Amino acid sequence: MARDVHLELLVGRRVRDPSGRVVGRIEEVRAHRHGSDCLVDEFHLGPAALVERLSAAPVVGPVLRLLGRRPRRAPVIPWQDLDLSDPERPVWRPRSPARH
Amino acid sequence: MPKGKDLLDLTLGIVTSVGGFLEIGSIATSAQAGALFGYQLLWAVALGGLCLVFLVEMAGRFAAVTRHTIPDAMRERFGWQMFVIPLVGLAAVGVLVLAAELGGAAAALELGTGIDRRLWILPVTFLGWLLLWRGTFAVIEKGVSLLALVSVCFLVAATVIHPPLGGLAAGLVPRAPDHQHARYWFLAVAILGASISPFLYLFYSAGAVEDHWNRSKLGANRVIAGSGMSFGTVLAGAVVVVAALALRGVDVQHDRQLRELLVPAFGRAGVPLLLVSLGIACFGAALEVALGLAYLVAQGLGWNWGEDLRPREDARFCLVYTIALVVGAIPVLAGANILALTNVSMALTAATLPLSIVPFLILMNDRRMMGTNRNGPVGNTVVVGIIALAVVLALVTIPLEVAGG
Amino acid sequence: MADHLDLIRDVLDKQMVDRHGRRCGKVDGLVLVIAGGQPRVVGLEIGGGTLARRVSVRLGRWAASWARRLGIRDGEPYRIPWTKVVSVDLEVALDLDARRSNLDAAERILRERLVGKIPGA
Repeated sequence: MARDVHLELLVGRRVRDPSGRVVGRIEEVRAHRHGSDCLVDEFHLGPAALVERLSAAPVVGPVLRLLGRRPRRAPVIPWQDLDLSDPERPVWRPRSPARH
Repeated sequence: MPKGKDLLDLTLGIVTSVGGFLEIGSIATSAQAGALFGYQLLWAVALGGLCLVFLVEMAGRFAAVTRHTIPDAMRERFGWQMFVIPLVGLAAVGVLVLAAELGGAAAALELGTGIDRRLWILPVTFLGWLLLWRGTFAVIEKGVSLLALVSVCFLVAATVIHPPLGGLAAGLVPRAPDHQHARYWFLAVAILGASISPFLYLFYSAGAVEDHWNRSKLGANRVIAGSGMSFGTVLAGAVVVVAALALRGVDVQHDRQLRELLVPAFGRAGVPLLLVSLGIACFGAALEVALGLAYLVAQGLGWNWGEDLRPREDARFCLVYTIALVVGAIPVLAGANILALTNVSMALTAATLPLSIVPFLILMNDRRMMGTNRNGPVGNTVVVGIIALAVVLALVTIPLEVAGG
Repeated sequence: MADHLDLIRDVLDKQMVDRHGRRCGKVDGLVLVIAGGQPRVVGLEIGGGTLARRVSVRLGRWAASWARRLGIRDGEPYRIPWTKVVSVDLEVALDLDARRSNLDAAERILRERLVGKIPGA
């Protein structure tokens, strides 16, 4: 059954695992073009991806290090592992552990 | 050696960047500061000016390198959900500032003719709208700036009255006052908010794009930003100096008390001169703020925009400045005290500076957009430092002023 | 040949240009379709209603009802099929003519109903 999902409403949405624990927030969606199609490959989560997206690393990076926190690398969820049947409540159903 | 035409362009650039600097915000806050505290708040004027020099240079550099305006780039880089916050904040404060400017122009006309400002506000607002509707960017920018040169009279007045240079120098050093502490620091915040007006550098950035600046303008940009903003700062400082003599000890609560500002220097001729300067400066600033609001909304939302376009080609852009002007006229029609309105709008401007400046600084440090022209540590430190000061002071003094006033 | 694309960084909220190089708004929304397999981007969305909904759902509904009342595409956002996207670089280049499409319906309606009637426009 085909469903329309609005990407702009997914930005910043919390992703939970099946037990309800928060895994991270959707910050980036990586896709690739295949002919005239554009297919979604993976979802990048967490504040680390937000920093990449804002390219604020020159400003934020040193500040985080000063505070003693190394910026975490973003967890990446392949498209097969993200359940978007309720786009307001995305669920990570891993077939494999999330890559970092 | 710069050719004759380059020198002319440079001079014009400096002149146009001065226009819009002196307006009700800087005039009113500088006058109140001079009246109550003599030269003691000159440091606030200088600090605001220093920050503005850096910000305006950045705005010009950004436009020349990326060919984008700041609101445009903010939406693209940070996304709509994050952009909405500075958009709404700037728009709200901007309308208040616009109301104060329109009020300043109407007040000047009332003080000069005796006809109630609530009647003057209507033709003033309509004339402003008509100029935006029919004018082109170049005409508005240069016309307003050339007329605003009359505010050089403040500098002339400040030199004519021979202020003690030692006193001026002492005023440039920040220190605590010996009386009315809450008012002192509140005025410091208001002065910072009057100098570091986001609409000034937003307008400068839109102007640079409208004038099709590119990398070859980087050097000229530095000269224009540096000289223009420095000169404007000196003018604001001159108002402090002039008020320190003309209104010494007076608690300025109403704009009619500003009439006497130029009398010690120029005698009775000082009154019409003051009213003309005030009226022109405020009217010009009103045009710039209204345009700035339209640029902010149109560029952020991706509409067609540009003062050089005919209104039928950018209808929504024109609708924004029209609505802004109409809403801006309401406080004066309702009988608001212009000075109080000015103080509030300037203090709120200072308090909300981080909303526009933090994203702007991130853009200025963005390797992808700016490349080798991105900010260095000096620029970042100066701006962040002064903004932090402004915000801290604002958070402390605004509640105190509200509680006390 | 596969081209990698970061949809949020490089497409969403970016400036669009039509085939004549004319600026025609920013990408306000991106629509994916999930038909049991890999999610596919089907189109770009433009409209004040889309922007409003990104702030809050209620604001989105309010904006859509106003658009309907003013006759702007019946309150619906404008959809551009992904097939019309030529390239994604500093801007999103589209294979269409902005003037001939219903993209800027709001602008056009404002021009016809109000702005165009004021002298000097």
